[in-house]
Amino acid sequence: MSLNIATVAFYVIAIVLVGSSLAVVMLRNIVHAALFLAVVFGAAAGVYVLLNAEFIAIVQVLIYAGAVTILVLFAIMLTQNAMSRTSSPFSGQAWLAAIISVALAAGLIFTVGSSQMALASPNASANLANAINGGGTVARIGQLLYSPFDYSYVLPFEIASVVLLVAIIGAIVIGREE
Amino acid sequence: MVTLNSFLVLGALVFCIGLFGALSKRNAVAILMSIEIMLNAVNITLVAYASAFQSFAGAGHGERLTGQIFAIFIITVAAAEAAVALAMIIAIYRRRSTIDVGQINLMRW
Amino acid sequence: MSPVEFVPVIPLLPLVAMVIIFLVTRPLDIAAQRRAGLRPTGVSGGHNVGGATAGHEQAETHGSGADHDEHDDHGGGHGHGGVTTFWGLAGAVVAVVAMVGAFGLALAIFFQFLGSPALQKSGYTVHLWNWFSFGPLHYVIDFRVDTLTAIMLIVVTGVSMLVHLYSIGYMAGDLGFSRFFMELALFTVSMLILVLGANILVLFIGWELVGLSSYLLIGFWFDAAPPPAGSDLPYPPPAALKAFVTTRVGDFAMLIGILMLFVTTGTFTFTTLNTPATYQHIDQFTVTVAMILIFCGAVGKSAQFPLHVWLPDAMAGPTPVSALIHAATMVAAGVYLVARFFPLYSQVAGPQSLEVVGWIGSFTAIFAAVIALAQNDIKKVLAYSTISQLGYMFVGLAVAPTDATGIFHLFTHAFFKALLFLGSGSVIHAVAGNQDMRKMGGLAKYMPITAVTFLVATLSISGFPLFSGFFSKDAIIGEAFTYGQANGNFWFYGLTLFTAFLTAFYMFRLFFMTFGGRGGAFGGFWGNERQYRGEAHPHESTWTMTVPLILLAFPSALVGFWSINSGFANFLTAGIQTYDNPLFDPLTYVGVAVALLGIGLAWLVYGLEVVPARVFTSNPVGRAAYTVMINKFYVDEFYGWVIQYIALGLSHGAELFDTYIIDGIVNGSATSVQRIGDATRRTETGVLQNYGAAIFGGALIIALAVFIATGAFVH
Repeated sequence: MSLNIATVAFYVIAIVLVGSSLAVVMLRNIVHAALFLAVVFGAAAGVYVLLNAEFIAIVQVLIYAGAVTILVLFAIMLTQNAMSRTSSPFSGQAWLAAIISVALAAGLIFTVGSSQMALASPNASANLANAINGGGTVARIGQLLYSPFDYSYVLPFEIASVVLLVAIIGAIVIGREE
Repeated sequence: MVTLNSFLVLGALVFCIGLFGALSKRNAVAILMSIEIMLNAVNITLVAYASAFQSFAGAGHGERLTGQIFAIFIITVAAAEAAVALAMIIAIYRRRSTIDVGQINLMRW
Repeated sequence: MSPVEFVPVIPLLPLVAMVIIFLVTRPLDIAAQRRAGLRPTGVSGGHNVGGATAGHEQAETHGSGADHDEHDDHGGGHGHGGVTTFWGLAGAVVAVVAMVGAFGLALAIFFQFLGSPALQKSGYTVHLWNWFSFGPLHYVIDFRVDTLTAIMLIVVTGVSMLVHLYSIGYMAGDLGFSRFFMELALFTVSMLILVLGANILVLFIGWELVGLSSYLLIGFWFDAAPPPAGSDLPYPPPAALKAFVTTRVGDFAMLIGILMLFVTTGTFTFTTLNTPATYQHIDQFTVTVAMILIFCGAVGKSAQFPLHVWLPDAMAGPTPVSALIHAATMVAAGVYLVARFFPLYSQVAGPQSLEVVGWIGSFTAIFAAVIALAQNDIKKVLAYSTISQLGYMFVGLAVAPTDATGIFHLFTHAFFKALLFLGSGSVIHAVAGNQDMRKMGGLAKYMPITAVTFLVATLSISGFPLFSGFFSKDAIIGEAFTYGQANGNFWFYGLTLFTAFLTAFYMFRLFFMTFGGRGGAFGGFWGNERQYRGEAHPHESTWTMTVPLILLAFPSALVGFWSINSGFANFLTAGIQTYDNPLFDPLTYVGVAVALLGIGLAWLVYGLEVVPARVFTSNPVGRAAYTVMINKFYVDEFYGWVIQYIALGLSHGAELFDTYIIDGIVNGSATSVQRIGDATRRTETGVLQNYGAAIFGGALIIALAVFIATGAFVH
């Protein structure tokens, strides 16, 4: 087992990601949870970097860690008196949710472990080295998203922009005062 | 050694943590946060596949990045979803003075 | 062009008359009645029924009730105080003229047949039109005239013509005058179609149409007031329904029989059906069953036991209707039907079929005659007499080698029974609607024409020598004796012979009770005012009524002579069969003696009254017999019991089945759906997290199932 920098980075980031996710879910204080959510987003960005997807990582930081976290914090602020701080943050079916979640995790891990495709996959660390060596994917993604000639995602991209527009207008309509 | 499986397991774990939160939290904002975690877990999985298949010999240059493109769209839609969902939470809060989903049961029989 | 080629004109004439009345004279008649104030023009007043004492002849003068305004002929008062309008009379004249034309043509055809043995053998078929075709099956509307039909044409058109004429007088003043003639014409058309049909389909159309006409005419006074409860007075609406429904029972069996014949032979045409060669490859049993089923239709139509119950009730209709439909023509249609299929009955089907005909006929003959002994309603006596005589006809068909014997009795009976009914109508007319013979008596002096003609008919039906009934009835009795000699079964002979005695007795009882009585001239035959027991003032009827009586008296007395030297049988069977002239048959004297015995006994009891009628009822046995007889052997009560307890019981059972089983299943399924819904809707909590848990839990279960199914856990 070669203990290279990529492996170390992966385990560090993975532990941070899982730990902060658990914190988000388990913490009683919703504000703390939101702050840990920012950590989750950041750690996820780290995972993307490891996976040679620097564009996604940057987008992740911009949108999730930046915008969504702030949005969530605003929502918490606007509804801060809604939830009693003394009562449990969990509903009555938390035990059922726990069972389902654990079982699902076990199932997924079992599936991944027994998947032929996953077993046959190449070593990710090679890609990591590739990324460090400067072979970025940003230009390629840009081509895929915007090029009208190449095999591209221009149309879905435009649809996504319409979705965003609708979401903005919808959020304003739903959220405004009567 | 870090393989594709490591990322998939990581994604699965994070997804299930988010699922637990989504199914058990009472606060609607907390549920929203849990859902964001689940979406991130899915993105991790997609990007991991994209990276893994970059070196597949038979794959075309477009297909190799499909996972990343998907992730971008998911982020886009997730942002929109977060905006609308938070607006709804605020609207519900304004009307019913609560965001406890156990009490928001308008769909009840 | 010979007359027989114009045969479709015969039913066409009354049809045209009916249409003219329907479209022209009847609307004008109704309008004239409105103008004269005879018929209410709108909603006015309630029922004002007067004189609810004497059956259907009640002088109803009620306006149309609030519940039915302006109804056709409603508020029709039947009585003698009304006025026949010009247009009503015009319609009647049209109908009579049409009938005279039809009768003339029928006579011409008859004489053409009489003069042409070739035509007697071949018959004449006229193709009218193709009804419809399915592949190899062609249904055609054809008329066929053969000797049997020629005879029937004479009977139908002749009696119908005279009844039309008679009805002008009898129905005068009835508000439904025009409607009566319309329905009478409809009946005549239907009956002509029945006898002219060249295949069973056409016959069946006519068969059902006469049933309909009979229903309409029995129920002619459909708005009559119901008689008081418990009385035996006629009430037209239920009587019409009873006639229709009872005959329908027989018609159902008949239809099955017809279809059995059709399925086995593939044809409806009589000429093919009556050829024995058609049945070379067909099981005799099938044909026998089919013929017995067809005879069931005849049992219903000809009011034979056990479906005889409708005919006495049918007397609720106007008396001309009784004469035409329920004595001369329609009820004889059953006899005609059996005669039409006679080659099948006698040659193709097993002997059981004609034995059934004979047993039903002979039993009905004596059964109805016994009931007739005790009836006091003049028309009821005649009705039971008709049933009895129809039984004779069936016996005649059953025992004789050809249909000539039965049909000849049909032929003579049509005349003298029509005369009897028309005469009784004249009597009823004279005594203001009374039908009870106990309130008659001595009418001969008041209405001599009626009395004389009635006496002729009575002698004829009683089998008095040289009257036509003597020839036809003694021929049947003689054939029954020959049949007994051949088969060892003398029951038919004995029953018909005894019935002859009963017939003579009850017919003369009727005559004496109506026209004669003790102290009258000629030993009680010719009564006068001293024997009259009623209150009304009797009078002789108008010429339109007496002329038909006189015209009918001649054939009633004389047509029997046609059978001398086998004239009739030669004609009907185209020379195939002859039978002995009863005049010179020693057996005949037995029949004559029996008839004279009956006449004599009736004379002693009701004419001379040397033997009081009490002797029959003064002893317990006689009293019990009398009770049974006057209650018609409780057949109606038995049917009522059957319907009330068995039919309604079955219906009740079906209702219970429907309520608890069928509805139970339906309601149970609905209820169980509701229960399940009630239970499952609890899962719809409205809490999204429950739904989410269900989604992922379900996904897990599916995944687990897939794992197990694919054996993922194994390796």
